[in-house]
Amino acid sequence: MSFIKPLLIAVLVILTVLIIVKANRFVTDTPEQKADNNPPDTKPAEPPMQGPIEFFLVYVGRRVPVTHYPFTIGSRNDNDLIITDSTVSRQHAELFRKNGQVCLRDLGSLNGTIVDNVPRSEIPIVGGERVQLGTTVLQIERAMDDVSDDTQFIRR
Amino acid sequence: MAMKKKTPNLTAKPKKKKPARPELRSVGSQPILLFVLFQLVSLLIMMVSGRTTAYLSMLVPLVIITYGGWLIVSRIGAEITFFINAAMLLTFGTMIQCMLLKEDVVPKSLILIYALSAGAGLIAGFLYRRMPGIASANGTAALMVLSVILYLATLILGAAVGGGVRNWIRIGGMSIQPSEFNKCIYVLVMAGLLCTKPSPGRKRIWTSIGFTLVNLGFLGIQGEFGTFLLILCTFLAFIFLFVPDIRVFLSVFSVIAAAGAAVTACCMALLRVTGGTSEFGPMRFVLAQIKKISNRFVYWLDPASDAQGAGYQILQARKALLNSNLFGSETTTPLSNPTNDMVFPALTERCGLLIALTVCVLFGLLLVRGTRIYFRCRDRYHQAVCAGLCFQLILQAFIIIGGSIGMFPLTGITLPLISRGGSSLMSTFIFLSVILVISSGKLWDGRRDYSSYETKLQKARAVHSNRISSLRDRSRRRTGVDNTGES
Repeated sequence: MSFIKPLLIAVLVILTVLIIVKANRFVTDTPEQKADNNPPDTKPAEPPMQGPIEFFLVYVGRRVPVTHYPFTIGSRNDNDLIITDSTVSRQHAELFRKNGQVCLRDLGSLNGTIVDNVPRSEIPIVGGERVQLGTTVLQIERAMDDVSDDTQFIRR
Repeated sequence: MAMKKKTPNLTAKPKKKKPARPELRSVGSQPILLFVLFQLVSLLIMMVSGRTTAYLSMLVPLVIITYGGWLIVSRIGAEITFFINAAMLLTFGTMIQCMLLKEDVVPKSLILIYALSAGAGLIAGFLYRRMPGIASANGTAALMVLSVILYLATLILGAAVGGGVRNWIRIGGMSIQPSEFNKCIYVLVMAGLLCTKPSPGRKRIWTSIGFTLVNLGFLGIQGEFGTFLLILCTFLAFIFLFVPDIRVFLSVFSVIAAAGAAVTACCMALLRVTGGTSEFGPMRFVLAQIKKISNRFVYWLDPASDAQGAGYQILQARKALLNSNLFGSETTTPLSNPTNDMVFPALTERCGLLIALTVCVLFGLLLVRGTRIYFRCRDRYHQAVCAGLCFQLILQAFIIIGGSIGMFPLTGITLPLISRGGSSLMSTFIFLSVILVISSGKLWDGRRDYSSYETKLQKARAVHSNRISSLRDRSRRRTGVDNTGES
């Protein structure tokens, strides 16, 4: 009887150590893996996205083609569309593909993303929407609809 | 419940910067399985020790807290490892509390404490997510007033429970210790003062010093020198971490050191001159406090000089440590207050040195995890809150473990998550839930003053509509295309 308790305590300690090891390795390894995997991950990920350009974002008179998904919009420098407006969050919204559809999603912005006067967190995009981010207004245009000469005004 | 409601929103907004986040959030089945095994083994140990009923009844709140918390934490995408470490500590705490029960009965008060603490933690986490106002100037001022009110209430209504310090307030049959909550408020106030601007101005630094002095003064009057030390160290940590000018820290540190030396010298002189007694009321009070502190040092160095009185606690703790072996001995050395202050020697004696060591390692890991959360956090205010709370938690553990094994003079504070203290456990849960909420990473911007937010937004709107219209006009002239619609 007297040997059971020490045995159990030893088991408990071993289990604790195991949990610590498992839990810690679980978290500490992912950033390293991320560092290793990301370059090969992103390279194949972006070219297939290319294809024909489906949408344009019209921002203060410019038509910005949506070249890849996810296409991020915000005030920080690393976004795909940078909007210099203090009411636009650093990462405000993004366009991404979901089941073949292109959707617009709010990235937890402070002032919200308002699509056709309705605040949305996620909405599929068909073209022609009026998107309000903070005080900035973007118009989404579908490229197929107007095969126009406007593309010559794209300045990237 | 409330926190769960928020979660679908959160999962829909993964960060672009951290693609590994979703995998990070979904814990594999291995840790959970191991954790279940861990709790089963702890149950077996309690069966062998003859506390089956008590531990089985305690398992109900424990399981709800650990697995419910696990669910919530993984849903909101918080740092799961931090939570696992805390949950293991809590399990150890429950084990030792059940072992220390006099007989094998259902510990109703302990269950109540756990339930209240879990509730407090949930509410605190929820409030922290939803109340950006606490970082604003008005919010900080309100918190300062609240803190002073709590201290005053303690002074006026305070009563000594169990022969200790007069720092308890009785509310409807329960006694709570407001100084535990003041620690949390102190961190929030300091973060609000020092960390809502990129670099705090002179006025803010002086305000924070003044608030610290008020805190220290009240704690000194109450005679709570453990918390006194804790607040002082937290203050130094804040000045060191969040005032960019290192000279401020150096000057504050040297002033504190000089003041400490001066006060010590004065107190020694005072004791010698008056002989430790005086007729004058305030003078007697001051002398009593000085004696109390000096006794701590005297009996720390030589506990055997008053083996039945002031040195008894320390001597018994040492005896318990000596009786212990690797896997827990059968002896039970009588300790004074074994459930709270002296829980570490009790744990060492009954559960063995290995588990005591594991507990220390777990506290160290909490510190490591807290540091990670601190570095990952982008926002200065949340960083400050996380650093302050984590630092206090670990420092508390460090002071009491060191005190009870004879490294430092003993001060009466609780070992977080292991001691029984009701308000202490409550505040520990609040600390943990706030840290976890910060680690989930989706929070309000701490640098924005939300109380005057509306007017700022209006101002920005006016400026930007002007700018946009001018830009639009220009581009329209250039391209001849009008794309912007109205507004």
